[in-house]
Amino acid sequence: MRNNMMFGPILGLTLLLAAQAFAREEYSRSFDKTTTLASGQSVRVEHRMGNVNLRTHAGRDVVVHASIRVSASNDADAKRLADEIRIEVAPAGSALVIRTEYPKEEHDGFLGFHNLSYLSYSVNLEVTMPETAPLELRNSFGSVSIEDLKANGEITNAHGKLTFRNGRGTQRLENQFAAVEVTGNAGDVEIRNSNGAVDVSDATGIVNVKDRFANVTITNPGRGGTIVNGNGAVQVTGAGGDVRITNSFGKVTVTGVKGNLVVGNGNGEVEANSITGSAELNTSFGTVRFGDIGKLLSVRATNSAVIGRKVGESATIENSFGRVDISEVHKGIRIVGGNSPITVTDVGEEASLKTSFGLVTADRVGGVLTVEDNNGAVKASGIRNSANVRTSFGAVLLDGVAGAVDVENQNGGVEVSLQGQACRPVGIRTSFSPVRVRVPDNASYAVAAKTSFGKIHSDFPMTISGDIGTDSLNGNIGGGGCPMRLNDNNGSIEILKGGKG
Amino acid sequence: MTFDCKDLERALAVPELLPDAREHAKVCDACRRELWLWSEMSTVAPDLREDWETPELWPKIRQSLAAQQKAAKPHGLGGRLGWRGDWRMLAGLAAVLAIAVSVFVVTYSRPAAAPAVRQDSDFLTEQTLKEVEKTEAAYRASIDKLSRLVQPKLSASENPVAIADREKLMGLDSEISNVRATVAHNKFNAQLQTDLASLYRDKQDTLKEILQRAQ
Repeated sequence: MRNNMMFGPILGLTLLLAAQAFAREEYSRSFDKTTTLASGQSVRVEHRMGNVNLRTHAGRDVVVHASIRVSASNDADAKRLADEIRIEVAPAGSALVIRTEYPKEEHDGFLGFHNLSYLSYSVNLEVTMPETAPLELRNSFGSVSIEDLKANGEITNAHGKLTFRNGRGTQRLENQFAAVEVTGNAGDVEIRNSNGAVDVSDATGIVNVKDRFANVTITNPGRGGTIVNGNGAVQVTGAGGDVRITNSFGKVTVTGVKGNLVVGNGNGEVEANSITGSAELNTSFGTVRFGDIGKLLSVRATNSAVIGRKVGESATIENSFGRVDISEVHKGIRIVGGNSPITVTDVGEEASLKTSFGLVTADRVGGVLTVEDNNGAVKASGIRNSANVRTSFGAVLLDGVAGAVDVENQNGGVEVSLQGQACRPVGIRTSFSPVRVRVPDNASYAVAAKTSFGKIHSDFPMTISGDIGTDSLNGNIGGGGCPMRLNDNNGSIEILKGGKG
Repeated sequence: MTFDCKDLERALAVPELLPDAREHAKVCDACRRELWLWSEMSTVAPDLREDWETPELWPKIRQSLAAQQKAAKPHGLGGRLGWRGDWRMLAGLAAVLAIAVSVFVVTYSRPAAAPAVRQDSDFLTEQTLKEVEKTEAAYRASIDKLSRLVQPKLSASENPVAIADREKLMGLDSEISNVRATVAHNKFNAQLQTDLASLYRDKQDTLKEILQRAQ
């Protein structure tokens, strides 16, 4: 216990001893200069090896404060190098230039320091400048922080975080291997970065971002923007204008766009919600999810599922190897899938659905339903217009079709329930499976049914015309008139009561 | 697929299976309850997370170290306490090890939580630099080994992921060599050493990801 209690102080003492035994000499000095900026003059800062903090004020003075620090193995060398580091503040052309000059390196060391390896240095710069003066700033190996700049800015940094707050004007920011963070700018913002995250919020203008190998997050871009990224996630929230995003190998998430949205992603998910305009969502190898698209929706997705609801106008979806599940499309929908199931619910106008090797389900379709499937079943209900279905090796179940019915199947049963008293022409062809048609009680049909190796049965009394045989039947239900053609091979045909009147 | 209760756990890990799970839950009370619980947990969990700021921590440590160093410097601690020679050197060496480990932790290990080096001091000490260089050499050797494992897989593939990975690694290598050249002329600059360490970490992470994908 006692030993434990002593451990802390002993460690403290040993640390102090070590600090003394191996201490290097550090020397620091300050540089201060104030100058007045002429009207129309801009400010240019050229710096490296340290941080730059830039603030603004309403006056015309430019106040420069630099903290110069040097580490060497002896005081004299540290002081000598610190004295050789110069901060130049001088006009050049239409700009006031603030430049940090380090001694030039020569082949045998710089300025007589023959062994460079024992020297190190850094300079931190603090600048206060007129808020309405345009700014050009370059730095590397240090952070850059800019606040309250009310003029155009062009800021380039590398290997240090770039922070920009509460600005006005067009801002061009560039960085490498470190983050860029913008909070508040009345104007456009353009950012180029690589290997560093980008986070922009509350820029009232257009926000354009180009990045790679990092995440991009944009919140409330006043007039929308364009984001080009790769190998990182992209997230946009609350855009006041059109948004265009190109990305790869990362998820794209967009929520709240007052305008149109175009997403081109590759190998990544796409999620888009609350878009007042049209949305074009393209990707591969990643699920597409959407909700509440105000106008047109277009999705092109390979090896991806497409899932979403609520489209203000019509929707077009092309995909493969992923299920499609769409609901609440105000106008029509066209889906071309492949090797995957399709489900649509509550479509206002026509629905055209094409796939293979997957079940097609359609509920409550306001217009014509057209289904083309291969090796897949088709199940539809509440179709307020006609239904045209082609498939094979799967059953077709149509419940409550208010329009004409045309079904062509192979090796799959067909069961159709007709709706209403008016004439709904019916044509059904299949093989190796039964055909069953449910007809409303008071309906009238001119029936032509034919099968081979099967029976024909009718719940309704029929007025027969022509020859009567077990494999063919021609006759009228009720007053006749409305054509019903049923053809089967190797399957029975049943005409049953029970359609929806 | 025919979804069964035993598939539920898998469905919670694979989002593509969730629609089947939900469909199944419509007719299965037990699975419905399980799904509801998971959904509740994911809604509630983010609110349970708690963060707090400790802005005084590092300034206090810095102040205390500065005060101790200031107190020790004028007379030399050995003279003050009457300790001499070998004991002092041994203690010094032990402390060097402690400092080196601290700098290694701050500079090369993850997560890089403490910005102590960057904020507290602009420069490394000579001994700390030695340890950092030694650690860097070991780190580079380990990354090189990883590279040798990954390289055949990466160069053999022409898929877009591999192309992007190759591009990223090339970019990182080029930047590592640029930063190393800069560090060579400013070795004690803690910011530069931290930047270099972060590039190595990025490269290591990228190589690990490639290896994981290949497996």
